Parts: sequence; C-alpha cells; structure tokens
Amino acid sequence: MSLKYIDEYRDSDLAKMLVKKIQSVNCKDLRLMEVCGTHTMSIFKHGIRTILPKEITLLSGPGCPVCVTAQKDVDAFVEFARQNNVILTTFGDLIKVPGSGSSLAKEKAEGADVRIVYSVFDAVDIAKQNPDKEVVFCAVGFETTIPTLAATILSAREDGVKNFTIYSANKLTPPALAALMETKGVQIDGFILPGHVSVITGTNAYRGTFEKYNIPSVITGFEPIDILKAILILVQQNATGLPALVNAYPRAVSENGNLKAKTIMNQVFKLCDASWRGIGQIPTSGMELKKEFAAFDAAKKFNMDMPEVSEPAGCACGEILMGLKTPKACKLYKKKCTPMTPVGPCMVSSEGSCAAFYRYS
Amino acid sequence: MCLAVPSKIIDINDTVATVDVDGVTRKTSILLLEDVKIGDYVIVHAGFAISKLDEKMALQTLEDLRNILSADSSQA
Ligand code: SF4
Repeated sequence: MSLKYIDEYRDSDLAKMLVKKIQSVNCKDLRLMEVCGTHTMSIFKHGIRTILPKEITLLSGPGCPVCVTAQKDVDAFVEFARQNNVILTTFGDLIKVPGSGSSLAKEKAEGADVRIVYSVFDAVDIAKQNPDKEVVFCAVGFETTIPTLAATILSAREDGVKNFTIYSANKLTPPALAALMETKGVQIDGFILPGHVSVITGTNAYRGTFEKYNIPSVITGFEPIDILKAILILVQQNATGLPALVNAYPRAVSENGNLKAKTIMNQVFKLCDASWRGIGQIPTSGMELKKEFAAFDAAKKFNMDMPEVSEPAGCACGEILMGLKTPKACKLYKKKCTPMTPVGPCMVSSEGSCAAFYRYS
Repeated sequence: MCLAVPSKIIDINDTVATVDVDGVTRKTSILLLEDVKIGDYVIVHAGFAISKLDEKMALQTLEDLRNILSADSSQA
C-alpha cells in the first residue's frame, strides 16, 4: 500500500530538482535554524545536510521538548518519583535525562514506579486502575502537546478522577524565537518553523515575531520535499532581501490553526513565565493550569517548589539550542557524553541535536 | 515526539477513532478536532488527532512545485 502524502513528498526526482535549484541561487553564507526536533531528526535521517551547498548551515533550535526542560524541572520529576505513593508517568525520552543528582531511569532502577506512556490519556487510565495511588504526569511539551493535556484534564474532571495531576513544564514557541533574536551573538538568517506546532497555532501566531525582526520564516512539514522547499524559499528570500512569513505546509496548517484545540487549551491553561535550559526565564513563554484546575496541579498538590539550579558543567546544550555552538564544539561530546552516558538532554532525546550528530556522523 | 505520518480514520466510536497507518491500527482521541469522518486523513500527536489533511492542498502544493521547477529547467 502506498502511504498517502508520503511517497509523493519523498519523490527523489523532485528532491534533486529542488537541490539543483537551491544550488543555483547565489547566496552568501547562510545560517538557517530548524526550530523543531522532529525536523532535526528528519533532516539527519534523509541526509539533507550532506546535499546542501556548503554555504548553508543548518542549526537545531529550541524545539525538542526534553532538550529545553530546565534542570530544576528534571529535579522536580525525580522528587515526585521518590514519593512513596506516586506513580510517575512520562513520555519516554525524559527518563534518561540527568537531573542534579539522579535521573528517572536511576530512580526506576532503584524501585520507583516510573512508567512510560504514549499519551497523557494512558496516564489517566493508570490513575483509574490505581485509585489508592497518586499518578503524576511530567508535562513537557509545546503547543502541539498542551491541548492534549487540556482535553485529558477536562475529561478526567468529568469522570471524577481525583488522583491524577500534571507537573507543567510546558513551553510556547513564538516567545522563544523572540528571545533568541534578542540574544547577543545569535545570528540566524531564517527559521524553518515547526509543522505540528503550527497546526495548532496557525501561521498568525508568528506574525508578531516576524514583523518585529523581519526574518525569513517558513512553516513546513517533515518529508524531504517539504524541508527542501522551505530551504529553497529561505535561500531565495535572503537572495532577494525580501523576507516573508510563508506557509509551505498548507495541507495541514491554516492561518488561524486548530481553533477547537486552542479553545480547549485556553480553557484549562493560562500564560506564565517559564525557565528554558541554557536560555533562562522567558516571560509568558509557558502555560500553567488555571486556578479552577488547581486540583490537577502536581506542584500545588505536593507543594513542590524547586530552586533554580545550575546545569551540568561543560554541557553546551543551551548554546547549541540557540545556534551559538554545534555539538562538535562541546568539549564533552563523544568523550564524557555519549547516548549511553548522556551529560545533557540534547544527547538523550532522539530529537536532540547532540544525539542526532552522534548517530549520523 | 510528533508522528509525521498521516493516519487514515477507519472507525469512530464516540470520541475515539481507530486509525490505520500502513496496515497498523491504533486508537486515537478525536476530542481536538471538529467534524472528522471515516476516510479522513489526520495527523496524530501523542494519541490525539490534531489536524485533518487537506487532500486538495496536498496535491496542489506538489503540482505548483513541479510547475515552478520544470519552468526553470526548460529556461536553463
Ligand atoms: S555533547 Fe553532551 S554535554 Fe555536550 S552539549 Fe551535548 S548533551 Fe551537553
């Protein structure tokens, strides 16, 4: 069976034509940032870095949810796992991320009840099956994930589930892009904007950042044709000096995004400041539960207020997320830090820049 | 974390749909989507369908791209 919209978007003749076209555009050195971790994975998997002209450098931005999770939040997850009565539920990538003293994998090996789930809904099922336990979900995600949390909390409330909470370390994309643009030393000539975050937010969510910084920006999907097309548009915009905000993924993304998902998200969550690994606090870049949903807030229920802590010495994840360094420039890369013995989250997550470099080079 | 592959809805039971990706079926919540029906292609993220794929747009994008690229190569 052919996979709908997949084979067509992997057409190698079309890809070759796109590469040729990219090569034909006269451009100076360009630094393009793919913001989303899924783009990073796809770019490596399809060998896109190796077929681009050498003038084009691709940087992996702050769009891998595990990679941007602050150390203090990882410490909080470890603390939850240590509570007697708690079943800690999480997406898989998080469990190997080292906190200040331990990781979830280590706690699990020592007997903590840490369970990997595919969807936050599964966490609620676990809560229903274990009424005498407290089930906490580690919520690290972007605009794509936050509505799924909101929908789950609404249905948990309807079902009268009392032993399910989330610890919210959720993050929003546009404020992070603005923070990057404000950071000294950051030099980016164009953004490849995340496809599935944009499915929810719509093209309009980037309008403010785009207008303020006038930086070439293209929303695109995850197949080779999608990514090459975005690169071509960014290269052309740089060549003509006419930046634009372009939606190159119209089969999934609209101007205003998924209104139903946004409504549900805003019913349950409100804006808050958030700590990003290596970047620090970014105002209104996170989402926390509204007061009326406090019963689902693990931080409140368990009185968990973790202090800010410093990140592992020598780990350059923060600078890598901002495009200031590449993994190879990190002194620990491939030495002290490998996927088996990760020092920072960028080496843990399959979407992380260091892990991708390690795997494909 | 995102599954970028479009999934086809083959059954709907209240707020849960069964989707098929290349012969593998999976349950997916459709709480975040308006008017989904059997036969639609959706993008699934962490157990939730988050977007319907616009078939006309999908084909249009490819056609536009082909036209632009072949116009260039015939000029060259
Ligand atoms: S190689 Fe390891 S230590 Fe260095 S930046 Fe990447 S994750 Fe951090």
